[in-house]
Amino acid sequence: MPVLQLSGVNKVFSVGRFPTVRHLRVLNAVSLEIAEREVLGLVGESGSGKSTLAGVISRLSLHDAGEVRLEGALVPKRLSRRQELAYRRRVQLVFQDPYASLNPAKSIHHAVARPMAIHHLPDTSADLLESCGLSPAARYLQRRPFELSGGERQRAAIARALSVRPRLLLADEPTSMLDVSIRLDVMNLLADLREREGLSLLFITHDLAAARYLSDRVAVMYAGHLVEIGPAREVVERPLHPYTQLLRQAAPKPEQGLEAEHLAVAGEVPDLANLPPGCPFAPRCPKAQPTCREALPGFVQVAAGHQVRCVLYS
Amino acid sequence: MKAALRSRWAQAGLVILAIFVLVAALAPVIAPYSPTNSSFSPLASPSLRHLLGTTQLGQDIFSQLVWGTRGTLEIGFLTGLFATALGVLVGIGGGYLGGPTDSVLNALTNVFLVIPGLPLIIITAAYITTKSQLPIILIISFTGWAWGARVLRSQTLSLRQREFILAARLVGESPLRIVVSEVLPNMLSLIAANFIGAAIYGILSAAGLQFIGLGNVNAVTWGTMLFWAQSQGALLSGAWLWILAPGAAIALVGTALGMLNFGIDELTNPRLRAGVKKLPKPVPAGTPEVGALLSLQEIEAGYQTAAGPLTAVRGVSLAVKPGEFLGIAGESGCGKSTLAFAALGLLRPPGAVYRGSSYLAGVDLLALTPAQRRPYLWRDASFVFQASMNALNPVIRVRDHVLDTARAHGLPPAEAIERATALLQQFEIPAHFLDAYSFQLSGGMKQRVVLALSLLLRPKLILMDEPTTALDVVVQRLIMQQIEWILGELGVSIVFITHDFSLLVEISDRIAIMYAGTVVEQGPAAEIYAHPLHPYTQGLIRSFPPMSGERQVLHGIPGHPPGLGEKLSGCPFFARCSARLEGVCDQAVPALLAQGDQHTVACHLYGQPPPVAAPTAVGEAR
Repeated sequence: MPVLQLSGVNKVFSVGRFPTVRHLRVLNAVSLEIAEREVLGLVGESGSGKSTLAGVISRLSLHDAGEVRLEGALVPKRLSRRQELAYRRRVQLVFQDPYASLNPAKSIHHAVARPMAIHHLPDTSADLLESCGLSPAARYLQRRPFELSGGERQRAAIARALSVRPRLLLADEPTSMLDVSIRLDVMNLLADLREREGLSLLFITHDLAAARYLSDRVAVMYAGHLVEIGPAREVVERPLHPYTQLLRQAAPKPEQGLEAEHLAVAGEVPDLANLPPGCPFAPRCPKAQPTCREALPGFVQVAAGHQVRCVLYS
Repeated sequence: MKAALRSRWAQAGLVILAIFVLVAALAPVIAPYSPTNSSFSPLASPSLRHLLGTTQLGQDIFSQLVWGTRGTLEIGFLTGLFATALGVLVGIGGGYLGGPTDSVLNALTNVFLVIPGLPLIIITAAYITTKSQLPIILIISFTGWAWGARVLRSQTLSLRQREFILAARLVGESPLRIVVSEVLPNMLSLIAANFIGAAIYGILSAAGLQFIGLGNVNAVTWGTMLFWAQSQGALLSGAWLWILAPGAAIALVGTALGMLNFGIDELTNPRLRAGVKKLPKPVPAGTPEVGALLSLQEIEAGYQTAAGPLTAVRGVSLAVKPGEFLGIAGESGCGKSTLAFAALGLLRPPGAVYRGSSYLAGVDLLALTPAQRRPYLWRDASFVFQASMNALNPVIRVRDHVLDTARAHGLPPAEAIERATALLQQFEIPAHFLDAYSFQLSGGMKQRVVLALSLLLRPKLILMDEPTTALDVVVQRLIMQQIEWILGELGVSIVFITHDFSLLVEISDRIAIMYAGTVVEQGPAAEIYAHPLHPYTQGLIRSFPPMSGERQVLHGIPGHPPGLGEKLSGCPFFARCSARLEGVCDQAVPALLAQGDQHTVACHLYGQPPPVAAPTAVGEAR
């Protein structure tokens, strides 16, 4: 049974005030599953809705339509305080910016031990910090965030998320604010936790190479739509959706020699308040056909576990 | 809070305040007489018996002043307490809870903000008949809390969206606990400032009210002293100390509290902190490299802090030839941005260049005054920073940015618009965007507008610091293609600073790698990528997971770079280096030495044979 199942999840943000309210359709019929001990990479540019999806799964904001199932059980929108706490014990989130996600006025011990106290768990903060690579833990427990480097802070933030022993960890761009030379080791820590703790992981990133490095499967989002999902190596090395192909082309690839591919794409990400009727990528797509602008294409199964939302493959 | 008390202003304020508190506490000991004892001869001049003379009613002014300290400080302290408590409750409560609660509380705050406080106080105070000071304290608190509530609310609103608050919600913390133990500790200095502000307001308002005879005029405070002095015609009868003494005391307490608040301000705004002084011009160094357009010589730069000067750039020399693309790669804190600002003399206090020269076509920019430097900037060398796109003024149109730039450098407006139109077209921005405001442009478009502006005066060099970092990969790639065009078609030299080494390889002629304020390796891009020599460069290149090939476990570089203030006795990379030579690398700073044609590296593994040879380590590193 998958740890998490989303089916047809929609989320609309209303911005502005009457009479100029704009309804941004940030998530549009998003369906996906995360299996036990699986790392699902979620790739997309800013505004693609990937962080909103993490927000919905972590219940920082509630979806407008669709279903969220945790370990097979439907999660209702309204939860009692007890149900809410039970959900929080199972699903945790690591934020992008370790400089903002730890309270500057509080010690690392507070960050890690307070969740244990809320959930009536024994205080194992020292062991937890050690297992997240903050060793010796005694050196870190009483420190405050400003005394730690960026990498150490992110490890502390990961430790906090793990303090309630969740089943599913959402990591929202956990390495993008970190220095290049320490990103790999934070990703290695996440891979390690999956092995050791049997965690499932939603790894959100804008970096295809990082998604390929850490994930079992990769899902690609564009303008609030899932456009491609499949085994990590297949999606990244042989992308099928024109948008995934564009992402791959645009990424710096020093290992492929010094001649860069020339990008020929115009236009910008569509206005989420005014999404085009068909495929959201059609206005920019070099391979777009007239039918693309009429209706949103459905998912096409192209190989085992590899699905693309594009008419080119139907 | 402790840091705030370290400020000289705060210390001076505290000392004055402490004296007053002491006087208030020891009033019965200090004051020679009872303040209400009217058995002395009226209007006596100052003497040893009556230090400040006596009043018309024959009371000792000095005793009144001492006892009045009690009443006045009591008013200040209690008003501060009540007004702050109300402000915290309404401001933080509403701000955190949001929704209808916030709407109601915010409306209430707004009403109290526009109620004319003084008339309300006067009217209400007129109905008070009790002898206690409490009613007047309550009235002042009640009319004075709204400003604090407004400030605290907006701060709470911004904290509420901060990720550490979201994280507390995520682990299941209750709203009350979040406010008390996550939000409040981050607002202590604001609350303290609010308390002090309210105390000043309380003391001044109470003095004002009592001066015009409201409240209990028979209580002994500085305000009532002024009331009696005024009504008994103190000045007419020459008893000017009767008015001056309480007046000066009020002013002094107000000043002391103000100084305390200034100390808190310094804490939140380091620019106000003492010690940031204008520095002399940096000591010039070296001579411009032959054939270079920009030649940096031994630049040392950093930041003046309360704890002493920090060094961010530790002696960097670099050169850029005409038409060349120099990429500078390094991680956060390596000094690359400080170097960029220093190179064009743009470093503002507390930043400072301590030493070195920056020769632009032979002219040392750092030896010039800002006014002398101005004509060179933008005309000969322009710059695009990560923040540039957000620095576009939102209330003027792109066209006005173009015209402003043209006017500042004497370019005819018609020609400026013509050039700008051509540049925008080149960057695939339709000409009608000349009349757009910056908020109507996407991030990528804004950065392209900035690029166009930087090219307006046809400079010979553009310095770019992380110009694509905040942008998405696709936009980043498009902008890199446009930068390539600038390089190829316009022959402009470009210095491109980034944390993303992978971005540089394709486009750079030469790459310099910075670590801990120094250049550790420099050479032709292809050479650096294919044969990196410095262990740091090797680690950096290995840190990018590839897009193809078998997946395997890779490792970054353990540890983290030395801090800005740290004194380095040897190689700055020593602590993280896997090929380090104990006893060599931690003893002497390696010099940047040539390794083959145009490739230089600062590492003891190369160059002169180290005194203690460690062949295996050398082999591994290669």
